[in-house]
Amino acid sequence: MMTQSALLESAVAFLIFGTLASYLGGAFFKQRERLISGWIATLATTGSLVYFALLFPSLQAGSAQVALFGFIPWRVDLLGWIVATVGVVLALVVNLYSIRYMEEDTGNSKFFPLILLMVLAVVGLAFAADLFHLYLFFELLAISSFPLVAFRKDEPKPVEAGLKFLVASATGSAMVLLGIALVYQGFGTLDLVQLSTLVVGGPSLFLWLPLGLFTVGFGIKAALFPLHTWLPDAHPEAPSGISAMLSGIVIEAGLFALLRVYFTIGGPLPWPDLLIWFALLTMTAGNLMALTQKQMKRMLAYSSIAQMGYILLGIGITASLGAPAGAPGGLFHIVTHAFMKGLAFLCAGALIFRLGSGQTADMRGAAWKMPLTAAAFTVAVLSLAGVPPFAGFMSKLLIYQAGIQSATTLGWVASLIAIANSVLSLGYYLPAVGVLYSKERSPLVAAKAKEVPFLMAAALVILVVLIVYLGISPDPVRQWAFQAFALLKGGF
Amino acid sequence: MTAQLAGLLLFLIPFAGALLIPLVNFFAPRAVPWLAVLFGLASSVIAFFLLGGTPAGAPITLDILPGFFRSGLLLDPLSLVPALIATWIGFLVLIYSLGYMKGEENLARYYALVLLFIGGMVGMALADNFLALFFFWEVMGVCSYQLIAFFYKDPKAAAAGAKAFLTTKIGDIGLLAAIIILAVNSGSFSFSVNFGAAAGLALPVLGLAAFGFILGAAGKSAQFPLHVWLPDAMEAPTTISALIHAATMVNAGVYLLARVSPLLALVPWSLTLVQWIGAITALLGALLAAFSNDLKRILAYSTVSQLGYMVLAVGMGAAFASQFHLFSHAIFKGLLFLCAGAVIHAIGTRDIRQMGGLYKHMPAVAITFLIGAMALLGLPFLNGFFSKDFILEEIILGGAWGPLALALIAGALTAFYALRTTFVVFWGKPNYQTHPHKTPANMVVPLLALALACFLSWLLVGPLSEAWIASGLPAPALSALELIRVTFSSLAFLFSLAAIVVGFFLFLQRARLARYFHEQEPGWIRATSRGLGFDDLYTWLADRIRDFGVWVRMFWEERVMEGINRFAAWGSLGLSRLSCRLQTGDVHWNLLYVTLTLIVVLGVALW
Repeated sequence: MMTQSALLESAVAFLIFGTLASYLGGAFFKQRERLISGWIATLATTGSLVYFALLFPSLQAGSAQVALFGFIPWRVDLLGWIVATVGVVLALVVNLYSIRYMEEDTGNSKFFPLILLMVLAVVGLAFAADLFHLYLFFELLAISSFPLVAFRKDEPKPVEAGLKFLVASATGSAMVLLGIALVYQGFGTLDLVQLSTLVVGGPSLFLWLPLGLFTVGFGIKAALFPLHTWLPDAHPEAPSGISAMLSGIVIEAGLFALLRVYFTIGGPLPWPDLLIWFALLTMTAGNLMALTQKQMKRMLAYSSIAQMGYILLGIGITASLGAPAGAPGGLFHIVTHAFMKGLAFLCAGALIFRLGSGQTADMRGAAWKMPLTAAAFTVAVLSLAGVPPFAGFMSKLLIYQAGIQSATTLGWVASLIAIANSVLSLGYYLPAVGVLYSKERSPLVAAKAKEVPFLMAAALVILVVLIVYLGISPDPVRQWAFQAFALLKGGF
Repeated sequence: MTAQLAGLLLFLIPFAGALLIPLVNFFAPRAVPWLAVLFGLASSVIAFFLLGGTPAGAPITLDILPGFFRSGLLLDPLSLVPALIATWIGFLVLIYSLGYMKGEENLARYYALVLLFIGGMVGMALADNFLALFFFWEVMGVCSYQLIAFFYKDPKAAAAGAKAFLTTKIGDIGLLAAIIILAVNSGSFSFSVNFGAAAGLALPVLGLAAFGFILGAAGKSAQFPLHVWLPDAMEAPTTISALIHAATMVNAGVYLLARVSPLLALVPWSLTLVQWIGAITALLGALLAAFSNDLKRILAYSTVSQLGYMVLAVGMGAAFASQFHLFSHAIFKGLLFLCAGAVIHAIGTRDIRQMGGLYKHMPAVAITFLIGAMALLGLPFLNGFFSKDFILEEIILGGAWGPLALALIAGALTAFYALRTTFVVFWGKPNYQTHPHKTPANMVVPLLALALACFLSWLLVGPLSEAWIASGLPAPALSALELIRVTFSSLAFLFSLAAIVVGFFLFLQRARLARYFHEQEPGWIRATSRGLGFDDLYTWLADRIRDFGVWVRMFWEERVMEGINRFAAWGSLGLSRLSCRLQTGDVHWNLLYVTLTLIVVLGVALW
């Protein structure tokens, strides 16, 4: 039986060596770089996933300190494991999908390694034991995403989007770094567990500045309104697999970092209910702005902002109103959102792959020629809107419950606004489905549409199965989310 | 076979037939009519066992579904009458339909519905509790509606079916309300329990229940003011309109009133109400019959009028008199309908103005029709005379002079239309082109039998009253001789004789009357030809109700709900366009938002 650190090192090693092998393999065999890079990356994520699965039983007792490869200080807990594993699963599906999807692109020997690097950053972020390493992996995540957003470097719009992403992200990073510096100045340590004990007796009044900086800095990454402005440009312009990754796990990583910080040093919060207000604002603004979008991926990007509001609402309700179901609901929503938004973007990508256009109007009637893609898209958006029996219903339900459970006016109002937002979101999800299933067909559909190739279809089917499974029987995973928060002591 | 088993079989057999016919229709559609007749025959044979086997004393009850719903069979002279009418006339309908409905489509539906109707009516009559009664009452209602609208492709038939259904439904609601009131009070649906417990109810509540029963009976028996469905029901196949509706189902209301008469007796005004309803209906029916030219309609209106007499008798507290008249009426009206059927069959039209002089072609029919008509108008020594006089006598004894006056006017009109119809059809100037078909001998035999019964059936008054008294129902002990003595020595005899004379006079003056009506066209005659405006009034009322419903729907759906929808859509799209302006795509603005957010967050913390 392998030790916890050995399991973890194996899982990470798959990602590190996968990155190298994927790049070198693609670089050496330029003719077939897409297939070689893609398959190596897929295998690497699969291997990593196996070790993450093996890791699971050892997390039931609580968190444990691990020095990864002897020098990276990690604390392994169920909370981080859930986020890391979701990232790895999504990366596996996206790799599988992108092997065919990227066939028109060049430079694929860099594409797949960057995905692996991105997952590696998510994993590191999930387990980082101190603020410094949190920041380190946070930056790795950002750096690996910029080139992926601007991957089609010959076109102006992806490059512009990448630059905006870079500017916004760098601003956020600077604020986070300043916050870290202030924390170090105040407490003399960056270890989160130590900090959580220190803040109780420490200079709590002083914390308002670093906490404010963390909130805004990580908030930029998590695309909280009005810090979201980079997202509607960056997510749609990236290749669809990357859109899925960005919306499915990267912005959640920003939120996860915020959550870690709040659950360690956020005890004496200077802003009661701040997160709830942010959450309500974010979901309402995201949904409203999604309502009039003409491009499918842009609409999905705005919907991601709205969904971030739900996650944040769950966490905020637990953090400031104390209802126990909120944070697990938010965490569970991270899981379900990764799958359903990933699926939605992959379906949109599949349509673009065949039609060559991202305009929703050009996809009119596509369902009759791409039935699997359209059905998968329907499942994804219904789940996003929180319609049973799909996963999104279960996670949103927990968040609504939490607000009502809190038995406060704010909790009730928040839940009602969240429910109203779900109704509002149907206002753009259903028309999109309606366009796909329209009796008329757009000229592009008539000329080009046909069902996606096997590998892409397989990726879609995997996610559909996950969404329906979590919708019908949410329980092992939902229980893990509850367990993850029940085990938390001092942020881990 | 015991009477209770016979009673059970009497409605189970038609129901079984109604279930079986659709199945048989799958593989042997031609066998359907014969199968239906077979079921009808079986139940009409079994019906004979009911006659002899009713033991004296307490009514027989039988657990149909023990533990769940306790229902029983109530076999007394009162309940036997509608059950036997349903079974036997139903059987006649089935036989008659063999020829009449030949070649029509959807015969399986037709026969299944007729059998279901027969079973429903028998079940209604033999139920010993209100719930079962209501259930079978509704079975009858549904069958009747379906049968009226049998030729549903004809919009008139479909409309007539809907009209019958809706009109009787008003009565049914009353009946249901009455049953619920009683059941809540006593905790039971049983007749006997409720009759005992009803005295404990407050008078207004009991009055409400009584009114509900009266309403239910009025709907089913086509009594004023719910009589409007019956004339339209003539759109049904003749078998249905003449026999099922005019001769069979309408008795259900009279039966209901007779059944609940112990309750009505507790509410003083309810009997008065019943009297007036009966009297007005008797007059109205006679009036409408006098001015109709459709042979079937004349007989249907005449039935309504005679039912009015029966209801009036119940209102006088004389259930026995009403049932005695029902017995006579079943015979002479059955005779008249069969004669009418033969005439319509021969001429091919229902309009009496296109008939005339048919005596030459069908003397037997003419004579028997004349006998039936005489019984209808109450010529002495015919059965109709004794039973109608019995009712008039009860009215005089009860001192209800208002209803009596109406009933006498109705009697005069009855004499008029009976004579007019007979004369116009059989002795008047021939007015038809086609050569009348000869009446087949097998049709004449039942006519002669019924004509004979018109002379003799009143002699059964002795056994009838004995059976009533034996069952504990209120009835005078009468023998036939007694009946003769009482009838001829009463004031009612003079009154009814006077009414007949007036009617005869009117008949003699019919040419002048016709000229007067034709030239002067008094308003009421036009109103009569339009059903005295009841249809118009109800149509107007229904239209207002519908208009109100439409308005409510318009207001709620189009204004309120649609307004909310429009506002929500308009508002969210507007907000969406507005908020999208925040998305400038300009990095400077993006960073400005970040800075502002930081300032606000830190500012809130410091503040």
